[in-house]
Amino acid sequence: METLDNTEWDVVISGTGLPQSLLALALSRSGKKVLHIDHNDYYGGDEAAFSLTEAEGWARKHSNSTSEQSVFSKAAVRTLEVNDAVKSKLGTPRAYSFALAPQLIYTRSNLLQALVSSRTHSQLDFQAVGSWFAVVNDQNDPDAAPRLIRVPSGREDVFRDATLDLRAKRSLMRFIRFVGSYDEDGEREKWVQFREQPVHSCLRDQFSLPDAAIEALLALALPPYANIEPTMATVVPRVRQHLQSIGVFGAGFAAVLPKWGGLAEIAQVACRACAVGGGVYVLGKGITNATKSEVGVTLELSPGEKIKTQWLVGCSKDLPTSGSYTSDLKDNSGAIAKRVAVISSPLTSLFPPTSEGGPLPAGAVVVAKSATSPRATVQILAHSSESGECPTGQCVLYATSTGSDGLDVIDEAISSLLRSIGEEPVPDILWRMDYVQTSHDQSDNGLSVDGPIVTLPSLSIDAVYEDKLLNSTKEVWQMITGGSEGAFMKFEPREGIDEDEADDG
Amino acid sequence: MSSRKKILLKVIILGDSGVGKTSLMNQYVNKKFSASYKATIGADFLTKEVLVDDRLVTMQLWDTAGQERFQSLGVAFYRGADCCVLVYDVNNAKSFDTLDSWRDEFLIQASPMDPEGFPFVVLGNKVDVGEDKRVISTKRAMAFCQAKGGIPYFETSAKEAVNVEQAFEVIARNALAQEESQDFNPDFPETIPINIGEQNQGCSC
Repeated sequence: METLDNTEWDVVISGTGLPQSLLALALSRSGKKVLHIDHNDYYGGDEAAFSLTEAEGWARKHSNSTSEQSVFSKAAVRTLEVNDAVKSKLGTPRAYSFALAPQLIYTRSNLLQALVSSRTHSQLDFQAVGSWFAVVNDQNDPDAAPRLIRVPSGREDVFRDATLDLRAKRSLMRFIRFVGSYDEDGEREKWVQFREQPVHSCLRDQFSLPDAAIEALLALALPPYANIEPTMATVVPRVRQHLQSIGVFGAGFAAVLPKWGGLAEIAQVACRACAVGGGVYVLGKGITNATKSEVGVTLELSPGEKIKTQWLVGCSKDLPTSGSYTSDLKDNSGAIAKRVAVISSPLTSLFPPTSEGGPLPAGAVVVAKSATSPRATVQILAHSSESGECPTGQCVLYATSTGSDGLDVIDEAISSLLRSIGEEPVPDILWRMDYVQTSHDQSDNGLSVDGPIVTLPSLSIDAVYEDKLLNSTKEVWQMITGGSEGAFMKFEPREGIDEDEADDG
Repeated sequence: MSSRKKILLKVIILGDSGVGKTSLMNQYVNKKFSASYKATIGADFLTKEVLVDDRLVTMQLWDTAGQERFQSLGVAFYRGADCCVLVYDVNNAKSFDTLDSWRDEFLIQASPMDPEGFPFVVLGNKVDVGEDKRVISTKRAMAFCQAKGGIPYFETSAKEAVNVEQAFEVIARNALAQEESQDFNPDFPETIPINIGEQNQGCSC
C-alpha cells in the first residue's frame, strides 16, 4: 500500500462520523488538500451501520465498560434459539443493516436542504416516517393486553380522532395555535411565564388538556432524557417542529429516514463527494500523536507515518489531545440504554398509509411507558424491511431509554408493544443487540478551537437529528476557507456533467 | 402518478488505481481523453442515455473517486448496482492479479440476490501502449473470464477509443437484463423527493 509518510495537507479530518463527513462534504469544492482518516476500518464512526456479523463483532469490542476510545459500552448480542424453525428465520448476515444512528430527520431540517444544495441528495433514498404511536397499559388490570394507540399527528388527525371528546379537541386546538405563535408578540408574556414549567402540570392547568392528550404531545415531541419531566421550553418547540414539517415533501408525513441504515448512509455519500473533489480517504488509520507547530500540526499516524497539516479537525475521541473528555464520562448521568431488535413479523399495523396517494411509510415511532415505573419512557423507532435494514417479513426496532434501569424498561416496552399489535402468536425477537451509549451532550456542547486543532461537537443522543450539528460544521468551514455564510454547501453542477434531477412527477 | 418509470441503470467501475477507469468513462461519455493522470477528480457519476433494443435507458457510470487507493470504498457506493465493470491494465500484472479480489469485494459488499448470475464485464485497458510492454496475454485474460462463469471480455484503449463503444454496449445490455430480472414490488414505498422545494407549505399552525 502507498504510504502517507512525509505528506503535507491543508486539512486532516479524523473520524468519519456524520459531523466530520459533513465537513468533508462542505470542503469538497474548496480546493483544499484534504486527508480524511478513520481509526475504524468502516465508515460512520458512532453513526455507522452494520450487517449482522459486523454488529456482532462490534458488540464484542464494546462489551466492557467505557474506554477512552469509545462512548459505547456493555454491548451484548442475543439470538433467539427456541428451536431450529425460529433460528432459520434470520436472514443472511448481509440482509441486515443496523443503524447506530437511526435518527429521524424532520422535513424542514437544514441537513436535507444542504444535501440538495450540495447536489448529493440524488445518491440517497429517503423514506417517510408515517405514524406515531403510544403503547398504553391498563392501569386497573395489569393482565390485560396493552393497547396500541395512534397519536394524532396534526390538525386533521385531531379532528378525526375518535378517542378525544369535543372539549379535549378544543383545548388541543387552542394549544396547537399557541405552539404556532408562542414566540410572537401577542403570546410572549405567556411564554415567559410557561417556559420553565413542567409539561404535565402546565398543559393540565393552563391548557386544560386531558392526560391522554398530554401523553400524545409528549410522544410527538420525543424529548431527550425521557426519564426526566421535561419543561415547556423543551417540548413546545419540538411539537412545533413536528407540526410545521407535515406536508413539506408530500402528504401525511413530517419526517424522513435515510434508507439502508440511517445517518451512516449520509456520512458515506458525503465522504464520496469529498473524494470526488480530490480528498484522500484512508480507513483503519488513527492519529497517535499531534504536535502543534508554528505553521500547523505534525501528526503521527498508526504505523509510524509522520504528516503535516494546517488544520486538524475531528470529534473529541478521534483526536489524541482530548484529555478532558474521558474524565467527563465518569459521571454516568448521560448514559442511554439502547436495543436493536429484529422482529419475526413485518408489524404492518405500524406502517399504515397516512394519506391518500401519499407514500407508504417505512418508519414509525412508538412511545411506551413502563407499567412499573411510570416515569420511565421508552422511545422506539420502527423500520420496516423497505428501509433495506432487514429481509421482508421482518422489521427492526431501535429502542432507547435513559436512566439506570434502561435495559429492563426497554425489555418491558418491547414486549408490551409486541403484545399490543394483536398478532397471534405474539411475534418473537429473533436477534437483539443491547448497548449503553454515553451522551456527549452535557459536557461537550459546542466546538472548541485550540489553534489549528478543531474539535467538532458529536451527535447528541436525541432521537431526532438536530440542526445545530450543521451550524457548527458551517462555522468550521468558514474558519478554514473564509467563505461567506451564504455560500455554505451551495454547489454548481460539476463541469461536463448533465443535470440529472430525475423526474419529479 | 407517473405513468412509466424511467429506466436507470447503475454501473460501477472497479480496478486498481491508474488502470484507466475514469478515462474509459470519459471516452465513452464525453469522447475525450486526457493524458495527464490525476487520481480521479471530477464527477459523482457520469450519465449517458443509450438505446438498448429500441429501449431508451439512462446509464449512470460510477467510478471509485480514488477511494480504492487505500481500499476505502464504503458499502453505500455499491448499492443498487446493475452491472460491475472490472478494469485492469494489460501492461501491469498486479492490476490483473487483483481482479479476482475486486470481484469478491463487489459480491460481498453489494451482496446481489443471485451472485452467480450477476453481470460482470472485464476490460483489459491500455492496449495502445504496445506489444513489447504488454504482460498479460489475451489468452490468460480469457481463461480468467471463462473460469469465473464466462464473463464478457474486451481489450480497450481509452486513449485511442478502441473497443470502448462496443464494451459499453454489452455493459448496457447486461445491466438492463439484470435490472429487469429483479422483482418489481408495486407496494414498495416510494422514496421521497427531497428536492421539490418549498412549494408545498406545511400545515399552517
